[in-house]
Amino acid sequence: MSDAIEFENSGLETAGESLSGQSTSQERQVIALIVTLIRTLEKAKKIVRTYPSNNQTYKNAILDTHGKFSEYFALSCEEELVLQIEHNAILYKSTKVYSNDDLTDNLALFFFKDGVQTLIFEKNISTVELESFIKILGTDYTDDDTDVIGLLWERDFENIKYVTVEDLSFEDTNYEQKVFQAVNNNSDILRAYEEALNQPEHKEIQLATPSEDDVQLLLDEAQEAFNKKKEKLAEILFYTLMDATDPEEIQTIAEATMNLTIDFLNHKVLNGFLKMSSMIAELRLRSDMSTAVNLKLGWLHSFCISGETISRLGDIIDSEDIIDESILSKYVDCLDANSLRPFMALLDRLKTIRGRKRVVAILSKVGKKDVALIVEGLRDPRWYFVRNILCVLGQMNDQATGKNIVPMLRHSNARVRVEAIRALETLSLAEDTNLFHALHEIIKCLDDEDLMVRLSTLKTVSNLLMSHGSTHEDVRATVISKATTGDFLKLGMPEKKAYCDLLSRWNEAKVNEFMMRLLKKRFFLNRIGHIDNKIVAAYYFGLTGNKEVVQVLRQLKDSPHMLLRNEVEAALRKIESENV
Amino acid sequence: MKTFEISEAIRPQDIISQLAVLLRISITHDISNDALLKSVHNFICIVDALLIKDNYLTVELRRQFFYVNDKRVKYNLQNYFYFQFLKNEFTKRNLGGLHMRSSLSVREVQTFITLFNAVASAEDPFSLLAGGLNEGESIIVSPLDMSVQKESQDAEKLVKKTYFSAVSQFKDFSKKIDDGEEVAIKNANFIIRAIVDRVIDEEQTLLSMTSIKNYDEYTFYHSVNVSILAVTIGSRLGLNRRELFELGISGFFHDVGKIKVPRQILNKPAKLDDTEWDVMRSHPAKGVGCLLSKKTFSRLAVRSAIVSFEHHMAKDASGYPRVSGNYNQDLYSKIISIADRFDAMTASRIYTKKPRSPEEAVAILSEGVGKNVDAALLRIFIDAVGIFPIGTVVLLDTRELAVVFRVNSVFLDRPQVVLVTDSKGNRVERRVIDLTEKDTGKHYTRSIKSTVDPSKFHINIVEFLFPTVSSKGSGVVES
Repeated sequence: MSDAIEFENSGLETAGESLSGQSTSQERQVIALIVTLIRTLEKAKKIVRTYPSNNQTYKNAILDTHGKFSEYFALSCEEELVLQIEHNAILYKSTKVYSNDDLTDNLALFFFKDGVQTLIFEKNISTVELESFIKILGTDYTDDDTDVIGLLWERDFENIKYVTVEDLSFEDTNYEQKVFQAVNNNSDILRAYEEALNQPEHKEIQLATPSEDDVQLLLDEAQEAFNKKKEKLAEILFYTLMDATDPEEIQTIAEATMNLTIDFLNHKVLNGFLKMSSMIAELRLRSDMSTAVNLKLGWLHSFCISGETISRLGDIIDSEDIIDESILSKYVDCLDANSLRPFMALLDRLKTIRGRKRVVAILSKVGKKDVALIVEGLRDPRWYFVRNILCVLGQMNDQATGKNIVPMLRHSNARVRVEAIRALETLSLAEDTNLFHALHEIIKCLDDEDLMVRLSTLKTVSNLLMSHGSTHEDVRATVISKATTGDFLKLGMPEKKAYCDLLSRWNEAKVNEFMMRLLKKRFFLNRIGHIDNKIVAAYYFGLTGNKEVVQVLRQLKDSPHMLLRNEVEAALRKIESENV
Repeated sequence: MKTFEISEAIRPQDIISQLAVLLRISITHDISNDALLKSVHNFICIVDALLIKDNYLTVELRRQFFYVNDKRVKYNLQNYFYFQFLKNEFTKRNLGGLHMRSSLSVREVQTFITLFNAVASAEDPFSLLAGGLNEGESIIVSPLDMSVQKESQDAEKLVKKTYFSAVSQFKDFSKKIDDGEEVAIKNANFIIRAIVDRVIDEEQTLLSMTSIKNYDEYTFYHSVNVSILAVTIGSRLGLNRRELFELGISGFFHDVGKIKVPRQILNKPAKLDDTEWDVMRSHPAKGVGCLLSKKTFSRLAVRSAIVSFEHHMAKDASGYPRVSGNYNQDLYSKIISIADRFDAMTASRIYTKKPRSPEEAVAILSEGVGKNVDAALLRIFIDAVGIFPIGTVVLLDTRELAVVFRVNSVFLDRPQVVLVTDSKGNRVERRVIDLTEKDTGKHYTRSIKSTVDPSKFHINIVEFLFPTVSSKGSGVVES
C-alpha cells in the first residue's frame, strides 16, 4: 500500500491534515486501510440489501469486508478495532476516518442517533458475525420498538462490542439503604426459632416433568406470527370496550380500536380488518351495550364502511391470492347500501381479475339493498364499468332488472353485449316467466356483427331451451330459417357448429334435409367450403343420432380429408352406440 | 475410524450435546458396543475441531449453565434436554469441569466413560473420578465447587445496580403516567435489556433480589420482580433474546393499569367492598388503554397490552376479566401470571399484611395446575426458583435456622442455605451450607424440616442474602 493516501471524495480533510503533520508511515497506512474498510462496509451494506444471500456478489461483499478486517489486524497488530462514533463522523484514535453530512445514508448517524458511542471489532470476528452486522446496517426499520442498539443486543455478537450513551449509571443508594436499613432492630430470631420447632414438616410437592412436546408447544406459541397477536388484541379491545364505563376510557379504547383497524389496512392484514369490522357490526346489534359504547360502535362502523376504507380494502382484495371467504362473507353481511358507491368505484381501479370478481361478488350481495343504484351504473360511459355492472346484475339475479339489461344488448361495445346476454341468461334460468321476452330479445343478437356476440347468443338460447325444456316456436323458426339458407354456409366453422348444437335439439325434418343435401353434395374440385359444409353436416348428424344417414356417412369414411374423416367417424360411433 | 462428518463449523453446544449422547448410550451399552464406539468417535471429532480453534478445551458447569472455553453456551429446544441431562450427571458427581489440552484417544474416552458411570453412586464420586483418571491422560476433571466460587462481587454489584435502577425507573414511569403522560415503553428498553443480560449471566443472584419485598413501594418492586421472574422462566424455556426482552417489558408493565385505579381503593387498608373490587378488577383493561395510547402498534405495545389484559385470567373462570369459553391465554400471559402470583403471594401489601412463605406460594401454584397454571411452565419456574425459593426461612433437621441462598435445580429440595442460628437458637456467623453435602455414612448432613414466616418475627432476609451491603453482615464463609 502506498504511503500517499488519497482522501478524495471521502470528505476526510481533517484526517488528511492531522496525518500530514505527525503520523508515521505505518499509522498512515492503518488509517487509509480503515477508510477503505468503512467504504467496503458501506458498499457491502448496499449489496446485502439488494442481492439474495446465495448470490456470488453478496458472498464476495462479505468476504471482501472480512478481508479488510483481517488486513487491519495484520497491519496494526492490534487485538481490536475501536471506532468512536460522532454525529457525522467516525474516528479512529481521534482521526476522522469517515465523514458524511447526508441525513439519510450516513453510517455515523445511523449509530449515533440511537446512542451508540463506540464500536469495537475484535480480532476473531467471523464472516458469520460480520454478515449479521452488515445486515443490521441495511435494516430498514420503522416501528417504534426497534433501534440499532436493540438489533446489536439481540445478535449478542461474540466479537463485536458497542458502548452506548445509556448506562447503568444508577448511583442512588437510597433504595439499597432503605432496603437494608429495614433490618429491624427488634428482629426476634429466637422466637422465630422456637416457632419453627413447632411447625409441621413441609409436605412434598408433586411436580410433573414437561415433555419435549409440551415445551415445543409453548415455543410454537412464542413464535406465533405477530399479526395473530394483533388479531388477539382486537378481540381484547372489544372485551375492554364492552366493559368500559368511564367516558375517557371508552374514548381511549374506541380510538385504539380505530387505530388498529387502520393498522390492519396499512399492513394489508385483510383477515384482521374483516374480523374487526364484523365484530363491530355484531356488537352494534347487541342490546346490552351502553349508549356511550353504542355511539362509539356506530362511529367505528361508519369508518369501516367509509369510502376511504373500502378504497384501501380494494387494494388488499386486489393483491391477496387467498382470502378466507367465510370472514369476507361476514364482513359483507354487515355492509349497508352506503358502501355500494365506494365498492362500485373499485370496479374502475382494480387491476386483477380475481380482485374484480371479489368486488362483483360483494356488490351482487350488497346491491340488493339498493338495486336502483347498481342499475344506474349501466349508464356509465366506460364500457368495462358497464360490463362489470352487468356481471353484478347477473349475479344479483333480480328479475326486475331484466328490463334494464335488455337495452345493453344494443350497447356499442361487443363485450358489454356478451355480458348482457349472460346476465339475461342467468335471470331467465332462474325464472321462466320472462323467458319468452328475454329469448325474443336475445335471439335478435344472431344478427349481431360480432362473432363473439352471436356465439354467446346461440349458446345462451341453447342453454335456456334445454333448462326449461320448452320449444318456443318463434325462436325455433328464427333459428331454423337462419340455418337453412345460403347465408349459413358463409359462416365460420365455430358458428356453424354452434348452430348445430342448437338445431340438434329439435331434429327438424327441414334441417335434416338441408344437412343431408350438404352431406351428399358432390363436387369436382376440393373446395374448402364444401368440405367444411360436409363436416358440419356430419357433426349435426352425430348430435342428432339420426341412423338414416349412416349409409351416406359410411361412404365418406374414407375421405382423403382428415378433418372430414374424423368428424364422420365420430358421428358414426355416436349413432351406432345410441342405436345399440 | 472417524465417522462424524464435519460438514459445517462445530459450535460449542455440539460438544455438550455429543457428550450427553455418549453418556446416555454408555448407560445401556457395553463399552465395546458399535453404537457407543461410533458416538466416541463423534465426540473425539468435535473435541479435535474445537481444539484446533483454541488449543485447549474446557467444558465447565457454572451455576446452572455450561461454559466452553469460558464462553457461556446458549441452549435452545434442540439441545435443552441434553443440557438438562448433562447438568444432572455432572451435579450428581460433583463434577464442575472437563479440561482437554490435546486430542483424545478412543481408549481415553472409554476410560473416562467407564469411570464416570462407575462413580455415579459412590460416596465421593468426584474424588474417585479424579483419582481414576491417570496422570498424563488428556482429560482432567475439576470439582463443581471451584466453578461455584467464581461468582464475583462485581457481578453482584452489577445485579444490584440493575435491580434498583429498574425499581427507580418504574417509579418514574408511574409518576409520569400519573401526571397524564403517555407510557413510553421504549424508555424501558435499556433497563429490560440489562435485566435479560443479568438473568442470562447471574440468574440466581438476580432472583435473590426478587426476595426483597418493600411494603411501602410494593408496586414498583413488584413490577420489577415480575419482570425478572418472567424472564427467568422464558430463559429456561429457551426463548431467544428478543422474545426475552418482549417478555421482560410485558412483565414490567403488566400492572400499569393500577395507576389508573383510585389511590383510596389501591391503598385501602380494610377489605374492599364489591364495588371497589370491581374497580380493582378493571386494572387489566385499564392497562390496555395505557399501553395503546399511540397510533402505532409496535410489537412491545401489542404484547404488553395482551399481557396486561390477561395476567389475571384463569382457565376455570376464577380469574378476570371474564371472556368467552374458547379464549386462549397468550404464552407470555401464562408466564407472567405465574411470576405475578408468586411475587404477590410472597409480599406483604396493604390488604394482605401477612405474606405467604415462598414455599407455600409454590405449593399453592402447584395446586392450580390445570386450572389457572400451566404445568410445564410451573415446572420450569420451580426448576429456577426451587421448592424452597431464595429467601425462604427454613428449620433444618439439625434444629438450625437458615435462609435459602441459592437454588439447586437438580435437587430441588436441597438448596444452598445461609445459617442464621445454631441448633440452640443462637445467632451464628454467616455460613453458606450446601444441603447436598453427605456425611461418611452417605447420609445428607442436613435436610429441611419446616419453614418459618420471616415477617412474623421481623427477620429481614436481605441481611442474610446480601451481607456485603448490610451493616450487620460479616462476609461469606463457605462451608
